[in-house]
Amino acid sequence: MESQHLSENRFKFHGKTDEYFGIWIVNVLLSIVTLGIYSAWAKVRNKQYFYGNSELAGERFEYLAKPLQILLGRIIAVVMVVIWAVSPMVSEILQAVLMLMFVAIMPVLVVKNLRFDSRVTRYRNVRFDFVGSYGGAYMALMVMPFLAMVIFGLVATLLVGIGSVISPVVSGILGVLVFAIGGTYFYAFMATYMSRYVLNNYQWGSMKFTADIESAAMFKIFLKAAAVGLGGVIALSLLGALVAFALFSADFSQLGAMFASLEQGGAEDLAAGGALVGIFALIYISFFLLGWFVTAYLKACLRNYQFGQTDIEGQLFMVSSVKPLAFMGVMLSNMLIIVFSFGLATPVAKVRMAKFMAQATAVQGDIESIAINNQVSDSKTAIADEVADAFGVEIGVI
Amino acid sequence: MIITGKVFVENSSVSRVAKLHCSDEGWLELSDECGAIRAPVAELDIAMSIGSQARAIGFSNGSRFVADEPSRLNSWLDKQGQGSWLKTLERNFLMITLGFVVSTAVIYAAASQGLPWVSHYLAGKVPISISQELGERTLQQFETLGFSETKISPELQQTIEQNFNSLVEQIDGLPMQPKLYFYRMGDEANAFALADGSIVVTDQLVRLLDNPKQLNGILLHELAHVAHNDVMASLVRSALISTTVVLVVGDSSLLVDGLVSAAVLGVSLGYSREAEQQADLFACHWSKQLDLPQDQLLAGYQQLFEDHESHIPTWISSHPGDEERLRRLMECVNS
Repeated sequence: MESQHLSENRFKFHGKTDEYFGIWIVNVLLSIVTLGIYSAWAKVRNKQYFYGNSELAGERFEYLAKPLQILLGRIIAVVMVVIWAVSPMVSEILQAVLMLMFVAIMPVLVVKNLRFDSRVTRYRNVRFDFVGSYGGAYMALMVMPFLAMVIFGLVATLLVGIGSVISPVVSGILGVLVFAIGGTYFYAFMATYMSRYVLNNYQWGSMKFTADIESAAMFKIFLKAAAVGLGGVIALSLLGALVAFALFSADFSQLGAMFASLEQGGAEDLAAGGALVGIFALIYISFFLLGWFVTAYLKACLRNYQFGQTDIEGQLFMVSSVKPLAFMGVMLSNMLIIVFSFGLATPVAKVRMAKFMAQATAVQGDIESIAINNQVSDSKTAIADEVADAFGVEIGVI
Repeated sequence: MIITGKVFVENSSVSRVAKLHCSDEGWLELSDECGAIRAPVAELDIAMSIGSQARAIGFSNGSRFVADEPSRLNSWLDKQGQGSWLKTLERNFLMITLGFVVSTAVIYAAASQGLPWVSHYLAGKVPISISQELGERTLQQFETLGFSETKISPELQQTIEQNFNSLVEQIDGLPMQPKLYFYRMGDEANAFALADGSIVVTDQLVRLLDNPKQLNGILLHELAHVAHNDVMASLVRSALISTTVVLVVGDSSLLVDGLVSAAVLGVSLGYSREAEQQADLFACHWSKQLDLPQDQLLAGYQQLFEDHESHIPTWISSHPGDEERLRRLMECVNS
């Protein structure tokens, strides 16, 4: 690939935990004191800190949203939620209708949210933009998933039906296969469609993003994650059996006796009870870690693939090299940090994650010279876009 | 003072080397190879002050200056009154400490006062039909949970039921009509309330007691859970805690789920211990009010606790809790 000869510009995150802690805790304090009103300012300061400390090719990013826009959006959102909450007093049907209306305008809100977020982001004096159409959003978020589901349902029924003509066993096996593989493919297909829509509609100034997302490649990633999960479960079960075998020297009656003594309130056999609890805890934790790893693996692979397929006007190439194991390590330790500090060490976790993600992200190409051709596209920020943001309508493509 | 840096021209990401002259009178002059522009600080579009971040300066012709050494420009701007009180707060040790103390206090208050209040409030809003449905479903599943039909003689059942009914009639403020059920669960001596106000007593508990009157204290305790709507409140509470933890942690992935449920369990147990104490006080209060024999009430509790002690392995037993409860109960009864 040509891009290998291109220079690589790695992202850098310059934020510091102690500095951010001050910002974060003052945000929390003022939000509490102002009964949440300050949270709009808090959001802007947070974002500004993270954007402003993210460096690419010697330049920082900027976050340009105005707190008042966000506050207004939040007020509108709260009013709407209150209306929805009191609507059953008028009639139950009204509430259902409102709910349906919300679902119906969901894609519009998603587009507005993506647009708002990109338009308030600036790099080298040029704003980003999202130019996806509403029609495209309805296609990607509603029509295609619906069609895919109908087709999947029909194919599955047909195959299982044909199988049942041959024999119930064949039908059963077919059913499992269709739902495991077909279901995975269905999911990969939807994810492909959605990320295609989102990634291909970003712009940096007048320069367009292009992402060549293949459903086959996405399917492979999902299958691999499933295989890792399945393999892990089998390996852990074998290991568990082995440990049990070694511990009880092939005498499983001991294990039975242990259970029996516990059932009879065998307080006298404390050691046995302790060992048993230890074994169960170990099994529990290892399955936990496995699940955690599969999640990290899937997230990392998807990000790496999607970034790898994305370029800007064929001149700048996105690179993501998140290592699943390291990613899991950061997620895991962050979660422990947050839980054991009752949330007070959140800044530590956020800065760590930002550093990790920056390190794993790069852009190939000569940004400096390509930037010369980049002009600001016409981007006016509408307040309406913020309404979507206030609802937190986001789709997790990346 | 002259600060070097680069300037981005309007509507473009092209940058040029530039110089910024900062005058003590509060003027800034930006000059590069294409010319110069001059303006008073107050008229410029200056980026917010946050952390040690570089503050870009926008001029009226759309060009935007970024300094090579941000700290010099930042401190000059601060001197010109362009600093930010927010940034000062964010760096102030006292403020940070205050923030720390206040947020900890708010978390504590929300957990110790807010959450129980909200969960009882919401539990009160749950339609009675849902509590009934829940209670009935639990009863339907009793056999799968290891409960079997009672072996207590109908006569004894009747005596206890009469006791129970008279208690129910005399206590006011019960939100629903409680019903009494007898079930056998191995050698387990226990009594508990369900969401719909049903109260279940196990055979072993009845056997443990010398006479039906000793059961009154325990029945009153369970009636307290009914009166306080504790079962529903605890359901609402667990839901609220899990939601909050997920919101705080910001991730509902697998491990979080597990740890969250462990945390939820831990916290919920804390609250249920609180509810148990309230229920004990309720039992004590009403047994006095209704003139029930106090020694029988205490005896009933004692029998139950002694039985528990022998049945649960010490490493998971709530042994100190039992002693504490009994001590408080005695204090209440004797006061």
